[in-house]
Amino acid sequence: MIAMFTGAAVVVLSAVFGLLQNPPGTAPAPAALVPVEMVLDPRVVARGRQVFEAQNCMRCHSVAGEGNPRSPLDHAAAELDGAQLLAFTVGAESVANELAARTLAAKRAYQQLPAEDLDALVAYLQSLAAPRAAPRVGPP
Amino acid sequence: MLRSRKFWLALYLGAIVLPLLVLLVEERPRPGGFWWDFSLALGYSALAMMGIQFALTARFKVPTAPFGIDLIYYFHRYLATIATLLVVAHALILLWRHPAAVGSVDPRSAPAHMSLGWLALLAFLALVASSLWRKQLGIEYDRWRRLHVALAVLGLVFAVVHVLGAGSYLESPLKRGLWLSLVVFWLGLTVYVRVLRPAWLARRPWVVTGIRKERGRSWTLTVKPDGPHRVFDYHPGAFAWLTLRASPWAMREHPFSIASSPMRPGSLEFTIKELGDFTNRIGEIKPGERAWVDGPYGSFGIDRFPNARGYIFVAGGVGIAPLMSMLRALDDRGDHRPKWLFYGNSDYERIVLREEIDAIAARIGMKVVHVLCEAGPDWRGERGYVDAEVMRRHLPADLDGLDCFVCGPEPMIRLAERSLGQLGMPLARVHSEIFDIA
Repeated sequence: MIAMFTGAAVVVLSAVFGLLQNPPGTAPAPAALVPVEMVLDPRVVARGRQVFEAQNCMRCHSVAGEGNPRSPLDHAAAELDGAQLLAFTVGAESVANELAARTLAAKRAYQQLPAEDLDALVAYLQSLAAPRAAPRVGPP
Repeated sequence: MLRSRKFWLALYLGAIVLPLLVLLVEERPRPGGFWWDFSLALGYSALAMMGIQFALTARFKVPTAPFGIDLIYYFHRYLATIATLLVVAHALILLWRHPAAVGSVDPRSAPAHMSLGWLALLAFLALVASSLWRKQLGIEYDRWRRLHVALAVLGLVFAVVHVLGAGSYLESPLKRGLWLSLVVFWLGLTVYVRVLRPAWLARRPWVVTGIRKERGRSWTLTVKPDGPHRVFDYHPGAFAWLTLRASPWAMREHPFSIASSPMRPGSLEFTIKELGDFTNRIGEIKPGERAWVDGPYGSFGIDRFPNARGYIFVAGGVGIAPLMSMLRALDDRGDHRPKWLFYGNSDYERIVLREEIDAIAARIGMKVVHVLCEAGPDWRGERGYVDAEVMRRHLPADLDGLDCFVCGPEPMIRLAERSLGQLGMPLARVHSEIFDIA
């Protein structure tokens, strides 16, 4: 029955595609390569995580494999500093050329968020890149 | 020249695989883990398979000719059901492995492309359910046709918007362009079948010239072109889509086998049995009424096998219609090759076209074996169904070079095929057309 064969062929081809994209042995979210020296207030970081969840960031991003693996954020803070992280989050002019038009439009909506929430979000992202940094209470 | 089945099958498989290959054009998308990429690939393929349904059912004569229209519809049912299951798998895998990426189902808080994805899934499930269980759900045939087209188009459009909104694989304009072109093509087919072709037909009206009551709750309807256009050329065994008391755009066409002989141009005859919503009222049609005829379609018939040593015909009830076309044509051509007709009916008085069959049989050297399942005690002929025992009593031991044509309800065809197989007839020489698909 050709229809069954087609169904089976599609499942096999899709699995092959999945394997080609993800050769066995590679993990989708590698640990941070560069330990980041950061002074982070755990309450601010926790608030940042709340904002992250409330804004449904996992629709497009993943953290530790949870959420949309299209754009993992696990070591974003290892490559970008705080100002750049903020710029990307709100789709600022400085990053307009780096993002697709659709993405930019979606991110611009976050410019409406209160400044403390945005700062907390950045702190949360930075905490992801420094999993072993002992959190110290102090000004961020 | 007919292209072979292999050609169209290859083209079809290519059409399934092509959208996945498009994804690999230019930069590959960032890997997201096996389950993520697997489930997205399933979604893309399922959408491509949905698009192909439009091509399968667009009534193109050339690609469907090597297979037969009934097979195409059966295939359509299976493939569309499997494609829907793949869409369900796509959604379930993502819900299982990446629920945060799927987000809330509530349309008030979810982005539009996600809500449309769920709507597309619902549309496809409704399509499958309303089609597989149309009669149990009590959906009248003409209403079901319209619902089917509406749900199919909506499902495809919603699915495409979902893909363009959610598709992390379609970042580049080239890929988006390729996908959009595919979709425009599929939808264009719908425009062809539902708008362009009816417009062409509307300029070629036909008129009913006769309606005659036959045995077995059947009627013979005669139509001829009402204008400068002529009856199309057709092979004995072909069918056409007939529209009565409606316009060509109304989607009220019904497929019927042409029962007349193509050797007599000028008019067409259909032999129609009272079996459903539309056919139960065929007796009310009057001469002079408007008709629309779209044809010919189908490849079932003797003319594809002109060098047969002889023919075996097996019919059940109104399955005699396409075979009548063949018998009448053989009669007109003065054919004297050996022939047999096994004709299953309930009782002697309800044998459709009985007298004409006996007359033709005498002229073309055909042995007629009536097989009745509800005959009275006076009946001396075969009883029950057309099975191997009945055939063995009337067919020669050597069936080499004979071609067999079977038409009727599906269980009858299966029985005939098994029986002929038991008698040593190769299945490749048994050709069938199934009535009553929807």
